[in-house]
Amino acid sequence: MSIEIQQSSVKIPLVDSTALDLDAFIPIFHEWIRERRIEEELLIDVADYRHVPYGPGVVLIANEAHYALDGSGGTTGLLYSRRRDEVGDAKAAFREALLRAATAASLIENEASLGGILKFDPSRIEMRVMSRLTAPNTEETRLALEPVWSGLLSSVGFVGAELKPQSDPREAFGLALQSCAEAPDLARLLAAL
Amino acid sequence: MSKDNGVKSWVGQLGASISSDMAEEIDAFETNIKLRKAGKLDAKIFAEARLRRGAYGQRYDNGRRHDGSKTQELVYPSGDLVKGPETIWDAPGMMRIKSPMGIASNEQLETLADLAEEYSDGILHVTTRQEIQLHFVHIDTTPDIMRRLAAVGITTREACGNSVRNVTSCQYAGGCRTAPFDVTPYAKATTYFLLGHKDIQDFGRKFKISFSGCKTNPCGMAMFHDVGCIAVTKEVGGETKRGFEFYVGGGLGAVPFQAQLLDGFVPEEELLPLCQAVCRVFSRLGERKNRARARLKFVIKKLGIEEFRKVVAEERKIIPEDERWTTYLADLDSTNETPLRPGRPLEQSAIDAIDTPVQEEFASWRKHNIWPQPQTNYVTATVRLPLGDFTSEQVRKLTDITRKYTGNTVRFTIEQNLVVRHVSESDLPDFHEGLVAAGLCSPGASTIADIVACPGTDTCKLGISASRGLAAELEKKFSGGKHEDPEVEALHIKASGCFNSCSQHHVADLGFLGVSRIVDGRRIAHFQFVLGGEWANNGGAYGLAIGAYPSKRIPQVIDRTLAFWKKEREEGEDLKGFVARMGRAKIKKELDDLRKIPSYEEQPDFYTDWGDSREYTIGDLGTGECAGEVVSIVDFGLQDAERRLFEAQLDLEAGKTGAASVAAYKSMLTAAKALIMVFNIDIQEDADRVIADFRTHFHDTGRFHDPFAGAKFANYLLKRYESPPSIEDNDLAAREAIDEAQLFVEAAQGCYQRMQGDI
Ligand code: SF4
Repeated sequence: MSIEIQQSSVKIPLVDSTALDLDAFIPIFHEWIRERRIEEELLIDVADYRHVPYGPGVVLIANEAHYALDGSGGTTGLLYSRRRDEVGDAKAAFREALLRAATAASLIENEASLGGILKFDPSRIEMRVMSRLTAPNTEETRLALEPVWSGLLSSVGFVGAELKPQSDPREAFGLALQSCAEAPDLARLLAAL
Repeated sequence: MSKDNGVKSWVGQLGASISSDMAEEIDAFETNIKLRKAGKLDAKIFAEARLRRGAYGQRYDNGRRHDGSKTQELVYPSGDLVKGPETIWDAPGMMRIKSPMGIASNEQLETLADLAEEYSDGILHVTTRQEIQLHFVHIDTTPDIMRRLAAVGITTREACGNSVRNVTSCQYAGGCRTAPFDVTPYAKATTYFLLGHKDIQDFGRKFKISFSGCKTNPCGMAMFHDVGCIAVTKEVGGETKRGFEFYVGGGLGAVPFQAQLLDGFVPEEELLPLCQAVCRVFSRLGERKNRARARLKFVIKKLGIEEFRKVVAEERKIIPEDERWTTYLADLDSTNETPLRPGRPLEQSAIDAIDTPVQEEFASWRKHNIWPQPQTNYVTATVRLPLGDFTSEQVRKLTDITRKYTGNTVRFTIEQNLVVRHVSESDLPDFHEGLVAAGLCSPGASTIADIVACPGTDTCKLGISASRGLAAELEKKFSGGKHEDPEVEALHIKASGCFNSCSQHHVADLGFLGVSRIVDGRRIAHFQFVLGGEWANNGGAYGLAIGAYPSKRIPQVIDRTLAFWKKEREEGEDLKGFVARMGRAKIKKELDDLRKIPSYEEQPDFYTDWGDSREYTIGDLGTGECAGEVVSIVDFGLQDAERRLFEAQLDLEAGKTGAASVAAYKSMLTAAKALIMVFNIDIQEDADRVIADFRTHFHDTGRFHDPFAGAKFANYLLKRYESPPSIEDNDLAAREAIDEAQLFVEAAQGCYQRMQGDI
């Protein structure tokens, strides 16, 4: 049975969050807009939240999704959040979100102005569904969505992934990768997607 | 779960938690969305409908954005579909959410947090009217946002548009030592009495009401509201009676006015009928065509306060009796808050027990973020929100803290912070520790580091300069700083992105409003510096405009001004007094070299604005939606001309006849320049250019000619250009200059209206 969800999001943590200089992302994201770096997206604007502790940092606003250098939940990384026009069922939506997040992370890793200083660590990847309507944070949702997400992870090279749901019922439903025997690096992940 | 166009909806999901009236209203709005999409509802009408429900436009929603080198078209999937004139359907917008008196319960806060995550960018933004704004919201999602808000008792109705906006009040009401009584129940009664009332549905512009507990403190800010009520008591027949000093006609914007006293004591039972009478008079006599003069302040200016008082009194007599005027008085305690924990003093031993590195942070936080309440051993704590922003995650951590230590509510403040009331002093160390973990522990509330800024060029369609970018820079500069001079520490900085004054910069000690200048063919972001406003006494006096300075030089402008004040001030002289004594000319001279612009080759960074790496432009300015109808850049220019004309009149009244003549001429040039922007958005400031373009586009074509007076008014400007006014002009000459300028500016308004008709 296919499960329909809306607004899936994926966060790929940075290996070393202390290497992140948010100031650099103002010109980088403006340039991405100018040069239409993400082809599938209509890139619109840059939202500057550098002043907010544990906040979304600098956000690249697009028509379908937002891309943030997000510091919430004790993890700093690239957060892809789908806002509109979800594709198909949960399986397809998760794959699409993972692909877009990994693509943006790879663009950052290869951003010339950063000199290769930022690296992402897929072995601590997190997902959420930012829709309390289609995916309330309940045990029922976990039973329905965990196998879908876990299946996707194993199909792209994660071995023995152990997932942990968000425990605060007020938060949107989400699963964090607790541990895994083997995880692909970003390049392998992209290749597998 | 219903579904429309593949998107699931909250219709029917919230059961009885949403009242049938509210559900019906929101369903009707959703129907309007469908009709608009089907091309069966006019775009302008839809725009008004969404504004009245709090759904605003946002920068770039006309489908164009300057990328630093050229304007790019943003091709949205919705194609030609618009949600208002030049407002593309798919473009992100802003949702303004009313919170009367700034009050929000834990449940409401958590709903706002959910909405920010699901429909916005995860940020809740507190406005200077104690509300919450969400940005980057799609119009299709707004009915669901409204439903989920309605389910926790929040409405967005009349959050924008020509209506009574969010009623504000002191954040300390009910927990303040200087207030004779708690204004909360009165503000609440006024809110819900006027919400959706038939007498407020036909305003020419917005209408703002505030409540203040006392005359001296800067909380309710009665002096710049259409209606400002200050709590007072009076002995009547041996009994203490509650009432209000009732002020009317205040306002900021391009032409700021201080409110005037309508009645020194309005008994509590007369509060609602008097508000209603003022609203009815405004509805009847308020300007409709000329939007620049459509606020209540202009009605009062035209009539005079005495005549206005008579008209309101007559109106009051004929309003049919309404039981709601007084029913709430039987239950004034209903808004009282009960502290969760017993009030106990904070013992020194508890402070000593705090870890040493945290001890200093705690002391610094406690110095400015705590307000002692009249209730023994209780304090109100200010949670400082940099630039008014906080995240959904922070909200959840905050409600954990309030549930543990205080109770069910917080209040947003006009300084874009929030306060938590009824904290037992003995709990302060633990309370602070909770805030530290949530990243909500910034010290320095209401100090020079606690800067207020409107959205400016970040998201506002009318923003000219980056008020938030500037504020972030100044926060960095002043935060954590130890100011050896407590008088400097106590100053307030406010930055607006344009002259609409949303940051309330007129009442700041150091106020800024965005303008731009062209130098050597390149446009450069500037801020007009407004110095020496009064924050205390309900916003008791407006600052003096000193001049425009490049945006990148504003930190230096502040440093230089403060150094000048410190060096030259007389014993005990505050900044406001210093500005009054020194006068504009001397201060301007002190800052003169800071107006200089380095060449582009020398310092290209100077040609960008704060927090934005793109080369600066005003090409992204859109059409404003401040009050329901379209407000173009030309409207703004004409409004600016009105402001200059007003200044000329003030100069004349002050006996500065030469200055009045010069200002009157400038108002004509400003009006002409505004019109020229229809053809040339980059028109430069200098008179030669303005006159040349005015001749080409308006005089020689006859476009400006009055249907009856022909070229007469255009010739006033050309005559003044040939023979400019002098600073030596006498009273007679100044009066003539002002009269002519008045006619010219009126003619410019008329010309623009005719042109719009032609378009
Ligand atoms: S002051 Fe101007 S730029 Fe700032 S929010 Fe108001 S209208 Fe927008």
